[in-house]
Amino acid sequence: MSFPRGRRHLVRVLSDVSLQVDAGEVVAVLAQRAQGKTSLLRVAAGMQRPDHGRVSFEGEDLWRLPDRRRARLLGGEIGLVGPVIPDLDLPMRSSIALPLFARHGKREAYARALAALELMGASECAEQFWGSLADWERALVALAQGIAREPKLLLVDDLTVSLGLGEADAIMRRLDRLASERGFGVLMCVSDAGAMGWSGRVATLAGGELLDLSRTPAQQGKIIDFPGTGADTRDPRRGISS
Amino acid sequence: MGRTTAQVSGLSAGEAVLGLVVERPGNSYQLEQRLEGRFGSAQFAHGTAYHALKRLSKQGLIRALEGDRAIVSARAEAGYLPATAYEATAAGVEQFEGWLRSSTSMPPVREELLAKISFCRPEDLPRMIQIVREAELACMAQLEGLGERTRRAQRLADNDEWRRVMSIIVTSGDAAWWDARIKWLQTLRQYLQSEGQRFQAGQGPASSPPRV
Repeated sequence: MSFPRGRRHLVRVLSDVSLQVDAGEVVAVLAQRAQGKTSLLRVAAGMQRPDHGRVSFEGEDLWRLPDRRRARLLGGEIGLVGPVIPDLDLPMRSSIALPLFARHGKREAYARALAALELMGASECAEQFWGSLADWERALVALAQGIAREPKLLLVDDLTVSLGLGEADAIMRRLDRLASERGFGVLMCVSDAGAMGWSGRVATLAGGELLDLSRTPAQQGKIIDFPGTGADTRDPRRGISS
Repeated sequence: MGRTTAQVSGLSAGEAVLGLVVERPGNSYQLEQRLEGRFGSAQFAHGTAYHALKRLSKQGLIRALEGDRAIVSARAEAGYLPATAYEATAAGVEQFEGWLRSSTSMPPVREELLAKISFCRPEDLPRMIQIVREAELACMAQLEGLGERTRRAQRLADNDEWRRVMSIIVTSGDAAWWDARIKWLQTLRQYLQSEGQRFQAGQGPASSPPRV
């Protein structure tokens, strides 16, 4: 995938990258700034179409789906969370519930918002406003927002990078357990190894090249895919390539 | 085992094992496990705890736990590995306290990769890029291993808040090391790749150094 820079130049952001995330699995991609982390997540979310290659979710090519169906996937079965300030200044309970109104109705939406906050251990943030939250509480609320929609794939963009010693670890342990219990896949991009928590597989991204331990050195940076780990009997169903 | 501040080296196995025994007595198997769990990134060889115990015992810094001595002598006579538990002697505790309070040494940087890069010629670039990539993968494996050890250590330390916090601090130090290493290797790899392209195109080296 590449972006134009000026009239004549193209900046290659992702190149020959293939990545697969299985159900219940957490994959952390470690990369420095401006190395394509957010682009990778936007491609995985179906928000950005790669120049070449395929982005598939549960075996379906995202870019062969009707636009409306693809748009519904994001925010539904595919969740994307990052350190973003909410547009509206509402208590967190309402901020999480609001996007769920259309799909679940008001009462159910509030119930889901509270349940998600509780699952992330952030119940006390329910009546608080964004401005009054500490960084680690904001990360918990953002993740609660992601899981409230009961995604099958949760994409996490550098959410835990500004957290203190042990805070990212505690949050990621909780997310790891939830992913495993509820069977949703997590693809997280981080700019600091300390922000990964200690969950799942590690990959790195630099200069558009993704490195993965399951491949031989000769295969790195060429066509790289992410098979299921260990004695995984689940079908590898979700993946992207660009 | 004792060393002056003039000596520069990393953590020795003897210091690590003595610290573990002072913290809690254990046999060689238990100490091997604890050594791996606590100092996995140091990559001590298998059997390190056993050999360290023998050395420390000879130096009088640890001794077999009361009641186990007879078993130790019997096993030693029979040529078996003494699977007995050890505790620190007063001299061992004193040695450990001295080490804990002494200034920390700074290990020298004698890395083979740096030497190879310093000797690298333009025609070596493709292989050098591959070597850097292999080093990056090795660092990733260390990070994944650190994750596994951390999860295990945290499960064990869940009831001991102080130990849990110390474990997080040590882990974050390990992670910061591997993180910095991976980032430097990524930058280096990209720079070598662009140099390789310039070399192939018949151009000289880039005038500006890599942004690290």
